[in-house]
Amino acid sequence: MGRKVAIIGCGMSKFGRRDDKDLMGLLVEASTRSLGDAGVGRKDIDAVYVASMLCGELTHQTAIASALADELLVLPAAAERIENGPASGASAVKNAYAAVASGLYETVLVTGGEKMRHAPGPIVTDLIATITHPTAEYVHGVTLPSLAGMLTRLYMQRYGLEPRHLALVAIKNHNNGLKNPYAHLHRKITLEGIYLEPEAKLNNPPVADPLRMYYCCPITDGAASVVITSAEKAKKFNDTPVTVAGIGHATDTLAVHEREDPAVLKAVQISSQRAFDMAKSEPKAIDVIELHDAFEILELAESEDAGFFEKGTAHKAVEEGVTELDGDLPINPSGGLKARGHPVGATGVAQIVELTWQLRGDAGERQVSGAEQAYALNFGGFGNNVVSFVLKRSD
Amino acid sequence: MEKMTGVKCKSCGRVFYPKRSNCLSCMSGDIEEVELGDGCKLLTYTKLYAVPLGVDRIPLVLGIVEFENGARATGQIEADHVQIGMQLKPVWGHLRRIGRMEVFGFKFTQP
Repeated sequence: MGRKVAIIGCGMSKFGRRDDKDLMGLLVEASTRSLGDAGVGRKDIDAVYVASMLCGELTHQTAIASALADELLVLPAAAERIENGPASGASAVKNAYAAVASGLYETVLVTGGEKMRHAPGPIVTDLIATITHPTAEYVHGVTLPSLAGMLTRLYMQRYGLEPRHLALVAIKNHNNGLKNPYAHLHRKITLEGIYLEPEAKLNNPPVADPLRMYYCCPITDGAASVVITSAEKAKKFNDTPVTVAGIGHATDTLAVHEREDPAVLKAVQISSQRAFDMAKSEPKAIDVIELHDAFEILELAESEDAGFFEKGTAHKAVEEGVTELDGDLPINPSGGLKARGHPVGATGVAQIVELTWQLRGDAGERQVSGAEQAYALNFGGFGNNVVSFVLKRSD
Repeated sequence: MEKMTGVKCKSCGRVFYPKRSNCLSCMSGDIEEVELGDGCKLLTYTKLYAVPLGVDRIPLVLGIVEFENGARATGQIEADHVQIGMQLKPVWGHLRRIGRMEVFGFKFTQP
């Protein structure tokens, strides 16, 4: 598997509506913070990987990694943009891992970002929908929320899930987001306000019934960044490097209806198993988790198919508080995509940033005490391209 | 009238949609085009309110159907009382606009 690889620096831009900066400004904001956190000099950076799904379509800039290398003055470092739909961020981290593990590069800067809020919602929704099957899904008007709506209905029919459980996941993630200064949404929400009271139907309108607005992530601007190097070099820069112990990456059929069981996220199962095998670890050993809750049904389904709960039972664990910040298995301490926001290319990197802070003990008010092993899952397509990580606190 | 077609693997018998050049189950390249039939049932659905650019109907009902031969498809559902398990049939019609192009294809209605 090559050399051991560690994360020695991380940083994020504030997520939210960022009319004050363009995409490059956000990438620089996050990159400057991760380079500063790592304590590496410009000459130490051998390569820059930029994760962005829609920079060309939404901000009229392509080959954006070359521009970032220039802007940061890390020339003549290698530079490339990595696009893998909503899993672009994790793919960029994975490729940085591979480059360092192989010895091709010593130190790589990975920055993911997206600028989306300025564009009208139907246009953003349509652009993201182009990741679905072009003739079997997209032409029919299928969008990511619609696929999540159909998955939710299967769960309700089969496992007794109720919309109330989605509300509980959203409330948990909003509460966690309140403790994350980088999160997009700093707003406390209540079961009364989004589910129980008669006005809840107005506060929480349907998006892709049975999914409502508060069960879906917002559209967000932002960037996140990590610096990755070999474990042997990491000790020179950082007293508390975090080791990338396992990576799993798996694909599934592009069209959801072609899967043996459309309610099973097989690529989640396989990517998770591969990451745990590589890390010589298991779900029971994990202390803190970041999942890809673009829709709250996904936090539940991913937590099951990744191996943390039996299929069809995660909503019961949520009801019992297991996944709360002070529960036995905290999920999305950052607020997740729901509250931190989902600048698409940034998300997979932001998950690694959050878990690095958690493993170092730098997560402030949302710190999960004594976290030693962490798991992240970045969900591309509608489950057709999934990347999992197991991270460990280095001794 | 247009008939909705998929492909059948001559080796293992699986019928699937959309068309592929190899069987998803056994990888055989020995496949033939077949009609999917008039009868299918609804496996799951959603009523989409946040429609993408090029769709004017709100809500747009989308679902996954399963044909009697086991093939499944995703598409627009036009029915009065949508419920899981209901019988549907494919009909040709207007789906949406993509750019300046009007796109047509199969959608599903009550028999």
